[in-house]
Amino acid sequence: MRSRTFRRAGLGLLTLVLAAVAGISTADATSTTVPGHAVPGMTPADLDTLEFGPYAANPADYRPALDSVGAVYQVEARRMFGYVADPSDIAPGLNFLSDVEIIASDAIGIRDNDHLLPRNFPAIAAARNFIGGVVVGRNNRSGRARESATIALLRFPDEVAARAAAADINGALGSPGRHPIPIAGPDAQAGSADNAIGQLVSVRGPYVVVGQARVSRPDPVALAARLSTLAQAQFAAMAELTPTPLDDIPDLPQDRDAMMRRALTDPGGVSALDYANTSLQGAYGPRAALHFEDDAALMRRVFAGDGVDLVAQNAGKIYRTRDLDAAFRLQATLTIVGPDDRELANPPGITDAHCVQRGQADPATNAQSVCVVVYGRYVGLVGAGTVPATKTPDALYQRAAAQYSILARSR
Amino acid sequence: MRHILSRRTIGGRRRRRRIARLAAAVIISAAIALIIAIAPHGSSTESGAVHLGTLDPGSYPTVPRAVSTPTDADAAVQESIRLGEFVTLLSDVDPRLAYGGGGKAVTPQYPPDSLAYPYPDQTAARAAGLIAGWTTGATHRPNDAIGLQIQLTVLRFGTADQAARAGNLMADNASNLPGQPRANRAPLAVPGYSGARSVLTAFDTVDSWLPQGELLVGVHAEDDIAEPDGPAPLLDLTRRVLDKQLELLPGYPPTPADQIATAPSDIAGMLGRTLPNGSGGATMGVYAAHAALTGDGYPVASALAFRDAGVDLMARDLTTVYRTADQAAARRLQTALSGERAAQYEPIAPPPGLPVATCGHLRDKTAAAAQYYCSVPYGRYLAEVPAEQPRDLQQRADAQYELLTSGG
Repeated sequence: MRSRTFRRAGLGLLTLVLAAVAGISTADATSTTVPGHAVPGMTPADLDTLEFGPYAANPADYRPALDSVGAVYQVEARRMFGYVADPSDIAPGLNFLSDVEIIASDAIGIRDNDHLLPRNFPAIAAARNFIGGVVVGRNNRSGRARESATIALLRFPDEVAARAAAADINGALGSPGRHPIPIAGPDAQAGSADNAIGQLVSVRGPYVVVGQARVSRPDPVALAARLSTLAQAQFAAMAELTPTPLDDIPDLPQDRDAMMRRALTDPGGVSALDYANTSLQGAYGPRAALHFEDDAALMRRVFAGDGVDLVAQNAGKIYRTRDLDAAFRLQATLTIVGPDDRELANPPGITDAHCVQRGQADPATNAQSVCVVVYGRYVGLVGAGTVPATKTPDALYQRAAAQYSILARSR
Repeated sequence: MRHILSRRTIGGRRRRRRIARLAAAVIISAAIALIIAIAPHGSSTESGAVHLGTLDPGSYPTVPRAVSTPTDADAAVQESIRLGEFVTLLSDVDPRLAYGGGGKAVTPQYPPDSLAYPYPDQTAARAAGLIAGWTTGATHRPNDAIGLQIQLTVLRFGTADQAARAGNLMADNASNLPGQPRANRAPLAVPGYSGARSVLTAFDTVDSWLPQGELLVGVHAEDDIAEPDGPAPLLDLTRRVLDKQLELLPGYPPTPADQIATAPSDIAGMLGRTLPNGSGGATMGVYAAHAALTGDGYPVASALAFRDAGVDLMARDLTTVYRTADQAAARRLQTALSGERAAQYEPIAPPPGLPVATCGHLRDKTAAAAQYYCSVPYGRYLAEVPAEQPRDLQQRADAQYELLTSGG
């Protein structure tokens, strides 16, 4: 990773010198032009020769159809990702993604990988006019000493409805042997049946927070401390959260700094990067975007180090970094070749790309193979299924080429 | 019928509305097919690049028709348009209600959704004594599939008893939609209007009816996005609509019922200047400016444009004709209205012989509006011409221009 960056920097300097010399000697030698806005260090591809398949290769305004109440409420739910504590902040080691999803207002189709919400939550949602929410969960990916933390942030019409829903949820969590767990912090009820896995339910205005923590072995004191930390972290994360008046939700911005304009879109009927939940598409600040990364500890450092300030997710995922150097560093991080992974050849004609076949699918996107391209301060990630060793990953390469082209043609 | 460039006809539940739109489109198509017109071409040329000899109006009429004695149905619509001059523009009540339209008559021949629903055989009973009525709608969002919507209806009956009875029947009906699990919910109260009956329907919409002598004011309010907030915000908005409406109502001078059929039916020859659709309809007639705005998709912008251009009359049949102060004002109005249409219509070239026209093609082909339109100025008049096909658009626009030139 490091050597690659230095090589780029050196190449960039050389390009700069050559360009300067060329500029002095042959100012009118423009017979071979390369599209794009080259900056030192990049190796611009000839966009005319790239193979895009069915994918749109030009930036396009992002105008999601808000033609149903469900679609409208999801806009507000997406915003709530920015106000959920990262479980990796609650205890060291809880770095690995187990769940990240939007809970739709009808609460149908919930995956709830961590079994956080009661099974009858759809009925509670219907009775209490649930509007929408999000769930984020992480664990330490340990087989022997499993620890995890999961947080749901759920919005109801008002505090009365939220309190009623919280009571419903508390009631539904009741199981034989479940007893209260005393936690620090006001207005939160917690309990556990086995002193290893505990849940808390709390109300903040129209919001209900449901949290769950698992400690490595039954220990009521450790569990109480963990749940207390979870509650404090979540209350701090949502301190600035105010509900958007329902009627104003359609006015919330759908794109920030034209980031969604830069993200690859699905042609009809083709799923380029299976986000497992397409409602996660949108432009996010770094705090919310971190929820979608598998290794929170690594990516938090990387986001800070490379100045990642905006991330957009559609069929492609775009990271905006500080500058080109940071973009190449982020590309290297996103394409680290792990022990079970296999490096793939670059897409034809694109130098500033790096592709990897993963041993395990990404838990947020389900992608088995990824290509990451760089253009200026932008890093674009596209994914696909498993790439057989004997085949060229045409779809993956077409997506990479289209994503690269969109970035190159964006201003 | 669906009037030209109509953005919406609000009221009742959305699915029913879509079906109504489909039906309206079929009726329009049938009406067009039925039009048989004598089409003598005009012979003079106006200033500018239009040469009448090069225009091709097809089989559309090119001289103003004499509007003779109207049918009872058409006369009731004209009286309703007169009432529409005193129906509140909803954008004046709440600035969120920026997208308007749907202004049309409510008469025994053209009952509103809530009068016809659910049993057509009860329509006559509910509408007993109905003489005239006007309805207008507005939404918060350009996409009327979501968000706040208001439909305001003012009905005129023969007697106060009939008005009160109709209000009660419609309130009963709205609270007890058959086949709906959440029928017969507790009645609501509009703050400050103890005389109003207000119900929360099975669809979480708020329907309120307030009798005022022989008049009956109805407000339908819904906001599917804000449904979890309950009916209180809708009731408050209903109150504000009623406040404004009751300010305007005393201004309406009702034409005595026995004189409606013989009242002037074509003020200033305006209706004769429109292309006819041949089958009348709930929007056919001559409007003063305020009533015209109750049928306008962008009433806030159009109100400014009307004032600037001195619009005093509008006539609507198959096409719409505005009368402005003078030729320059007509051109300014053309620019203003074309600007309003730009969000919904992509500009296209005008018909070859009619460079003064500005035309557009619907961007969202599935929207409930004409596929094409041209606005055609001549002298102090500006016409808006809808069509579903380019060839038809050209012929209608050419015919409309010739018609205006021969209008004197």
